[in-house]
Amino acid sequence: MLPRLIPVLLIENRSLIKTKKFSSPVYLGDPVNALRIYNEKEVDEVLIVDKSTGTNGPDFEFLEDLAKEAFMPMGYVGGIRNIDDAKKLISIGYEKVGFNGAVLSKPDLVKLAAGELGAQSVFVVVDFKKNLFGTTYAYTSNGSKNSQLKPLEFSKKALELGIGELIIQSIDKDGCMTGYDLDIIKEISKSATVPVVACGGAGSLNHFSEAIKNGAEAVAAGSFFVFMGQDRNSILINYPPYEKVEEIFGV
Amino acid sequence: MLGIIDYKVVNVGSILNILKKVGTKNVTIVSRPEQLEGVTKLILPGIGSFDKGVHNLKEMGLWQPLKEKLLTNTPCLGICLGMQLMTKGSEEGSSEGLGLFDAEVKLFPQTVGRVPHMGWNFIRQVKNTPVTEGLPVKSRFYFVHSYYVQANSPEDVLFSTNYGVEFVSAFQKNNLYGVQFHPEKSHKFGMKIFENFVRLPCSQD
Repeated sequence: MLPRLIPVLLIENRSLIKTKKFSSPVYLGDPVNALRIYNEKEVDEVLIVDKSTGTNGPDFEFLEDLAKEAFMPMGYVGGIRNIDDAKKLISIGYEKVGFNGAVLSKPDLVKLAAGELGAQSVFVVVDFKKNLFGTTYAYTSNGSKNSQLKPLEFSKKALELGIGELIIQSIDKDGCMTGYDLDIIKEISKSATVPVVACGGAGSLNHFSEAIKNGAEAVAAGSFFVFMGQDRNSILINYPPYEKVEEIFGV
Repeated sequence: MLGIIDYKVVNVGSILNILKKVGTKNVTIVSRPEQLEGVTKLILPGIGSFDKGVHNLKEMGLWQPLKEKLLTNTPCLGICLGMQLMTKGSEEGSSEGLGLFDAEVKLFPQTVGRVPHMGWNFIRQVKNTPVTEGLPVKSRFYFVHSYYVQANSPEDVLFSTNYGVEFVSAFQKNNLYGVQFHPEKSHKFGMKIFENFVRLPCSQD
């Protein structure tokens, strides 16, 4: 099996944006267009992250329109309030629902979702960065709240809830395109029994290979699939052809 | 008339989407037993746990009527959990399956690597059927499951896939088909399956 290459679409108020270290958002356009192009390029899977959800939960109307464009699996994370939200996401066309802060604030919900929808339908995003003293912690609430747990500890808590996939995202490397945080990926991959997805920092196909060599089963990227090379001013929705992926991963 | 069984943990949206893409017009959602009348072809999707699937179908009064309908050889495509429900039972739960295929569902052992089996994998086509006609030689599909099907009747096996263990990724008997992967999310490969299934002649009732 080839590793999965997963474009991440970061959404804010129905617009596609891209951040650097989770801040300085840059507007990229309509996510539907990006999705249509990914569809044509037959991408493996797409992850939708909505950072603008509030107490009203997921923007179902918008998400349903997005799902209509996708003939590949879709994951969604952002503001899932309860099991009904999770089930509704499945019914409108999302294969997987994700949680982040809920691992600590609503663990029963995460456990229930894994139980009702199956582990394979539930993932957890572990966002991490160094605090002021240089110690790496897992953060929640779009990277603003220190969970007081190291990424490995946070991951273990998530796994205890029965989830089926971990997305390990470096906030410090987000948008920088200088490579993934291989140390944390390696550390978590070593003990996780579920697929681990590397996220945050990819800038080249080599970075993908590095992540896989360090234990990730799949790689996710935002900037890499929407910018032309390192230039954040040149938007080019792109994705390597299947033959190229086979070449990199040596099938 | 093609009916999609909606028993709550089901991705109806995705199925409707791909049917629209392949140009199917007569589609209805079936969530009550009386809605099965007049339906000449069925899709049984499904996401989630085996017992929950059985429980929902029974609670909605669909279990027995669906089983009877399928025993009359109404063309049916079972997808993911839907395929697993067509077997005799699963290690995931304690309920009996529909028993349409002499097969069981087992949990992937941890020795295969990461569980669930999540991603694009290849299939080995074991026999030719109308629904699998015209698929490219190196066809791949999207899998996302922790439990796999093992068939006791080798003649039922349509596709075989390897993920640490060799498992049945599709089975077929007469007009009944079951696929472990998600054809509705497998690009052109999945579209071919739906195109072919939609073109199958309907049953006569």
